[in-house]
Amino acid sequence: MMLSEMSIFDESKLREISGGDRSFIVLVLDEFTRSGHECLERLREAAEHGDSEGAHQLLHTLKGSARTVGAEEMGELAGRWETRVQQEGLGSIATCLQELEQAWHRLMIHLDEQREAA
Amino acid sequence: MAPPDDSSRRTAGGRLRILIAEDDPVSALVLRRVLEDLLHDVDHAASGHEAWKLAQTSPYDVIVSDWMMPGVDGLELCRLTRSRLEGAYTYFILLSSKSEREARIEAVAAGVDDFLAKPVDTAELEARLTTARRILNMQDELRTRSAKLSQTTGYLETANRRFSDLFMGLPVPSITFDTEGRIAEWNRAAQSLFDLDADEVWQRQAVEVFADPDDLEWAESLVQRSIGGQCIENEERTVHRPDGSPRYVLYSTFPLKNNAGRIIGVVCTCSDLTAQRNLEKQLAEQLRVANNLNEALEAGKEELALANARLAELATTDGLTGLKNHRTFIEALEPSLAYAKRHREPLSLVLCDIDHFKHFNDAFGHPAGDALLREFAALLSCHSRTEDLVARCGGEEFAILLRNCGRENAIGVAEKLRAVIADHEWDLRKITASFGVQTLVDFEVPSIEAIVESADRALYASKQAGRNRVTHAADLHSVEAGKKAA
Ligand SMILES: [Mg+2]
Repeated sequence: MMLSEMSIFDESKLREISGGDRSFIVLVLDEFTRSGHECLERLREAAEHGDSEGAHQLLHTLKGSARTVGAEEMGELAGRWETRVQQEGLGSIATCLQELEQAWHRLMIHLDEQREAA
Repeated sequence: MAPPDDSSRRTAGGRLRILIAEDDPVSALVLRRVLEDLLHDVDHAASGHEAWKLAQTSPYDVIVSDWMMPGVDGLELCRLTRSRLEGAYTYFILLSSKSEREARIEAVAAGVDDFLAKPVDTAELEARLTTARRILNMQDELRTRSAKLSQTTGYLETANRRFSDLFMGLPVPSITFDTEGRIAEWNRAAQSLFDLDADEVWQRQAVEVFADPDDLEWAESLVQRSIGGQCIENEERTVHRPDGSPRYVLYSTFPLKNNAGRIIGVVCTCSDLTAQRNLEKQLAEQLRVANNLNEALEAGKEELALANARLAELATTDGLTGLKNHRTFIEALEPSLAYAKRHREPLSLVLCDIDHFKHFNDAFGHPAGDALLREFAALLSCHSRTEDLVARCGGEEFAILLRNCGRENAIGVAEKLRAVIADHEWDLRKITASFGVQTLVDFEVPSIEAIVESADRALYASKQAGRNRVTHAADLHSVEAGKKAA
């Protein structure tokens, strides 16, 4: 599946897990927002310190939480960069950061729109 | 080790105590929700290190752990969990997007029970927990059985050891041998009885140990009868120890059977009778010695009786002449008197005295006097009847008791003796003797003294009348009466 074809966010996963429990979905998305943001910040720090192992782990975590909440584009992107950093180290880390921050930005706008809609 | 007391996890609806080890708070949140919806008790640890600390304080039924965590990762946590030897089994599920075969093999080797892909699928998780519950129940069952088994094994070992101690310490020498006749057990008392250590006899044929080489036939029979099921009671044999000393042994056996009743060996007790038999031998030896002593004693007694008889003879005999002595003569008077009275037989007493013996002694000396007395006595003995008792009554005076002899006969005997003496050819000079006789006829004589006295008076009368003559006491009365009358 091409990245462009993936949806930014698929809420069906969380609905399925919680049985449509709105407050739980909000709780999970708030936690995802907080920890995802923290993850990106720490990824930047790891890049500055040349810590490729730390970067790899953070990408892995980001991938896991994104997939868990149904943030498909973010999850896929983090997964690709996880593999690439593991294989090539921090050579393209600037591109990585840029792509992930843009995707994160899109996701946050999407979630805000949804929250307002709800 | 106590069996796990957590029956709740055995039932299908029972709550499981589950620990989530997950460094990603979002994943943890979702997972907790899913598990709590399935009505389990859930704790969360944000790192492998924290999870291990929790698991040590309160063991969990299931750990659901993320693979990739900083510090202690999922694999390390699993290894730590498995390193716990005590407590109930913990089912370990590893969460991962990793699907490489080698990574999974490594995880299984670390003790992981199951894998679950991220993000977690609720239905799949539920199915995995059903499996977990089944495995846990099996593990619990296994642990319970294993605990029981080890308890039973412990009892058996204790019982075995106790029996072995008891057997080894029995004061009676005891042995077991198998159905091939090979010695299996050999207690301490048997070691000292046969003077053979257990390792010297183990697996040796019992027959070689039970009997001397020349008694193997009996030993074979004992072993075969025992293996055949007989109980043997108290068969005694003599066995020689390696140093050659004999042991007297009393054998008894009974067969050993297994649960099915089949004979699998024989217990043999060997009572040591050596001390008893030695005691018996000692006793027999002592009896033999005592017997010899007794025989010697009997022989001694016979000799003593002879000696006593000789002594008695000496006591009743006059040492110089060999005639009875005065005391014996007096003692013989009373029964003779009683006999005569009872049978109304006459009884006569003759007293005689050598004439002028004092002059003879003075003239020729005592040795010649003694010789005269011996010759005189010999003449009296020689010319008396065998039933007559001839005695020397002291000095030159002699007495003769004539049984069943009346007055005339008595005077005749005395007269004959007087003549023999007077006619005898004496060495030194002519010798005569005077005689006094008394006869008991009316059986009214009051005492022995009276008879002796009247015989003595008659003797005195013979002396007075000129010696070398015989006077009867009865004539003396008539003489005296005649004198008085005259
Ligand atoms: Mg992780």
